[in-house]
Amino acid sequence: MKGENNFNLSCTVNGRPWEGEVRVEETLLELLRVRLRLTGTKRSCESEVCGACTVLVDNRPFSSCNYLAFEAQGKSVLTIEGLANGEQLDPLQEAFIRNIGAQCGYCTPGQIMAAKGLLSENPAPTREEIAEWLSGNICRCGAYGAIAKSILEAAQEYQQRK
Amino acid sequence: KVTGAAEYVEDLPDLPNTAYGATLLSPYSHARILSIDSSEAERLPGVLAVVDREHLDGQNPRLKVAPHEHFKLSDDQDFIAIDKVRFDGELVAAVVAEDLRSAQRALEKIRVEYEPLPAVFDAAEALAPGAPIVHEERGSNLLLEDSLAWGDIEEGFRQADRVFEEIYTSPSMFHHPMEHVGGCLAHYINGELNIWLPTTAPVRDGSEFAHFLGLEADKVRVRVPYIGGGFGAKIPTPSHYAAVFLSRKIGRPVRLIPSEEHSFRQNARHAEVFKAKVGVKTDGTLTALDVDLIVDTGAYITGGAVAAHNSVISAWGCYRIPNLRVKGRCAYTNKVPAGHTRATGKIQTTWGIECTMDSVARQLGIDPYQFRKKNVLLRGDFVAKGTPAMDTDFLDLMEQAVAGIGWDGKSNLKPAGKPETASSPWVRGRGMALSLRHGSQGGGRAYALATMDSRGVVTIQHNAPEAGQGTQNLFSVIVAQTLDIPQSQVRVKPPDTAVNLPFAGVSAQRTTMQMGNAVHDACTKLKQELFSLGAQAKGGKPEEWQLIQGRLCWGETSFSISEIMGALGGNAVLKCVGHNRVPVTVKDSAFAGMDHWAPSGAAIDLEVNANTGELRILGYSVIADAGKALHYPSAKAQTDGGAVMGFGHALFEETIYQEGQLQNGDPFQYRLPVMKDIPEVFYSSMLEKGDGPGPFGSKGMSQPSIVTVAPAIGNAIYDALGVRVRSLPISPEKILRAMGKI
Repeated sequence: MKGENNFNLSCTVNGRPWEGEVRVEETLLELLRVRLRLTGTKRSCESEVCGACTVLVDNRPFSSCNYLAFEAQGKSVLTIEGLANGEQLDPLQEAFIRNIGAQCGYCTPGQIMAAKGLLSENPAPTREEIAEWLSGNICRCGAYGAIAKSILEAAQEYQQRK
Repeated sequence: KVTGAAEYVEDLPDLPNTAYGATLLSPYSHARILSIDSSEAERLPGVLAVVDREHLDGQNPRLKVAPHEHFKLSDDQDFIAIDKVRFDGELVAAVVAEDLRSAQRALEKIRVEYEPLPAVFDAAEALAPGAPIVHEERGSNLLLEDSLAWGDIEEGFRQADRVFEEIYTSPSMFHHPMEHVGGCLAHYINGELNIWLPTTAPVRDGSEFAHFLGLEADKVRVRVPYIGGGFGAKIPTPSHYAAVFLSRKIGRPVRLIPSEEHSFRQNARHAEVFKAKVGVKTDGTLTALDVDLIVDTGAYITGGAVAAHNSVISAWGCYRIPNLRVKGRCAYTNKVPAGHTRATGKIQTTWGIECTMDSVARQLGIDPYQFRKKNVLLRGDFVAKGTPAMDTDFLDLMEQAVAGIGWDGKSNLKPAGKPETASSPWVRGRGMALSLRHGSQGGGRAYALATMDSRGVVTIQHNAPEAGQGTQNLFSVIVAQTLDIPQSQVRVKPPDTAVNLPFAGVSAQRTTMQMGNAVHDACTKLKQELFSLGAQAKGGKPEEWQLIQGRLCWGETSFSISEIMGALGGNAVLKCVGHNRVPVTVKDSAFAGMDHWAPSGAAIDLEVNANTGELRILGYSVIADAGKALHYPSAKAQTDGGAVMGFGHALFEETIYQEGQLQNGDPFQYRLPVMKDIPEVFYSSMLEKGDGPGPFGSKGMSQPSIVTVAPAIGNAIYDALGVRVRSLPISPEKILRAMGKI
């Protein structure tokens, strides 16, 4: 039964349709982590500052900590778990492994999803454009050089595949 | 990590019947607790239990302080505030409920009446007469004094032609790992504690939890999932003890999920004042150095003893100083307690000594590069009682560091600042810094267990957590190299104290040295076992056997590992425990148990705006002596990452206290380095001469790169403008003040 403060949400998550009741104050982060057990999306600042919880909604990056679940109505949500094609990793994931773009790994899913959003908007970004786009994704281990390099390499890989 | 499959403590699934904990922290930095009333909170639906000073059920709240080999320390912290709170963020109460929201709602119903007391936020002020006393029973805020001396300091100054005095300060800062500090999943059942938490030292923590609960150490099992960054912050904090207490009370698993604001208030880095008096001859020869240090431990000891001691033994830098005296005092203040932080105590002293050396050289009219060259310790030089002789080549580090930014190392000895006629306000400067840290230190023996199964797959068990250094990969590389098998045949388990393998923890650059050597030793023994087995099964003597490219070879014949393992019968396995060699501890040496030196050199190229004080970093280069990089990309990642954190420390990070409270303990106000802050020209590299005591000649190298950033920047600003900033962080405002513009 639909409660007073609840909302019937229907969206797709990682390509699969999802339908269910969400509380109006429930964040997309809670929905993904707690109810769908998609724990690759990380909780950190919960203030839209650090970028650890970045997911794509209709191909655009959002901080899922400040995105209410019901706002995803009719939209397509992509998380880090949905990025690889089965066993075949996305070029971004492969490049992050190759360059040690992940140290502790906690910010990594957010970095990769933000980068994915960038490359769908700008397939051949410069290093400055990458740095500007990722200014909301903090990596305390300081892997920025390796992250930028990974994104540049993945952009090339995407281009070649086309 | 790149697929989201790596599980951190918050990602672990709930155990059946898990309850949720929430913590109430003090809003005051110093206040007496007049009363606590949690009766209303206890009655709320869903609330299972509350712990505060009125609900201790006979539990002794006092936590055991970590022992330090040079100091006698007395326990000073309770897991929950008793008579007063001593910092903004001290744990006052904790609630456990059926769900997190109920627990958080209950916190709002706990009535605490405080009587605010005057607070002290500066260690020098805390040591002055009349300061508010943080621990009344101690009578003063002085926690401990430490010293280091050699030669004759008075004679050293008598020999000097000139004497200079310099002072440099470092603020307190927050480690800010992306995964919050203070989370755990604790389950007390049948007289045993199972706890999952991000920690650097699970074996030590297990015995501390056991002590708290009055259990034998083997009744506590600590497991460590992936750690979302540590940098020294991931240690048990009072909230973990509260979770353990509440789990025992309700007999159910308890999960703690701290918020960012809570995370900020769990621990910090030591603020420090570095005051040096330098005696030098006109030709630049150092004759004496007298350093006075004040270390701010915050409200409790936490890492105060280690920070103070590390500062004292590193305050002289890396120079030949015939007459030395270093005195350090560590004081309590009302700040968040300071724990270990990447290069504990050393980051502050490197800022001090490297700016001092640059300043002294310039005042003598000597180029700082030449001054360093003249005074720096060379390979083979005696350093101090109880240490190895100097085992690195600073001249190579210096040469490569300046070359990394395309600089010849020559400083601008008479910086004019911005000529009035210049059209651009931007003035260019270059500077450098060196650092020297004692290599892996202390901790006793480290153990690793290697198991080979019938297929020849090797599994390593150990208690060295992975916090982003690439620990698991490192061990896998060591196994693969030692046994000459592919890395795909190696498995590395996460830490679990149910396997009784002591290790002091992934800090103090111990991982490669101590656990790396333990893994190497275990695999070497495994190899011997395989040779004996081969000799038994196929003939010959064990010493005639070899392992080459994954095959066991004897004379002209070779066998797969699984074939030889088959001789054991069925699914039998081989197991070998390895350990490291503990360096001989020299009695009365301040440098106990260290086995090598971990140095680095760095240079920076920047522009500073003479009108606004803004900085543009054009290039940075840092060279660390890795001995041998076991996994080059990971070693380089440590060097790069340390330098990035160094930029934050140099340019904007500090915790700010005003009017009795921590003002910037939240993500909006605490500025961290982002990708845009990192210069385009960022050169980091390693010396690799295979001369370290670790596996294959490696050295510890996770810490040298963070310490050199701030002094290199400070020296480069002087090179540009002829003014010196003496306190971190180096803000545009401080540059303008140094110029006398504001």
